[in-house]
Amino acid sequence: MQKDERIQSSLRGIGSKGFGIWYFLMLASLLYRQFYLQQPIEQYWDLVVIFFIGVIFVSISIFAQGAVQESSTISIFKWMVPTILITVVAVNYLLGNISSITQLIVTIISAIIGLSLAILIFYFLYKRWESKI
Amino acid sequence: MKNRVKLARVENDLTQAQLAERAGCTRQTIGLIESGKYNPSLQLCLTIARALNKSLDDLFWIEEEKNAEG
Repeated sequence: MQKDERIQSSLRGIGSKGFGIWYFLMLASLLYRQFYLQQPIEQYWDLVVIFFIGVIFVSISIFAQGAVQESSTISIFKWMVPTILITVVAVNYLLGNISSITQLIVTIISAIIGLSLAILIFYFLYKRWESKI
Repeated sequence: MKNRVKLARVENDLTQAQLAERAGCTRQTIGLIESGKYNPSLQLCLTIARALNKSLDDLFWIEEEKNAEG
């Protein structure tokens, strides 16, 4: 007997909600360790790695399945400015003060390159899916 | 989406459990489909239609279509 599709659908929903809960708890835990306990990143790098692997896996899977429309791909660009700002603040906090304009520019360029690479990967995955249909 | 699965099932003298077994799903799913609380996939619709010796059109329709026809 085949598996009941309604139950499978419910299980997928539970998995999705479970990921959401895991995501926010991990994020809260990381922020708590970094900003409240002020632990050095060496003490919880394993959690950071697990967190990013989980997030990257889900993001790539979503794009690879073509679940994101072209308009959503474009909307990623809208997030570039806030993402770069957050990167600058994070780099400033984690790696020491950005004391010169050159360091600031290098940080911004690094953030743009990193983001562009991520967008390129996602765009490639989307196009790959699109070519299949 | 509306359906007349219950009517067709009764016409075929089947219980929900028997139809569920033929369609490869649970009795609860058949109950939810009959009460309109769950929209089955096309595959399950076809399986149920075959199990009840009906066509897809006989069993399932979109409410707007019926209103437009009527």
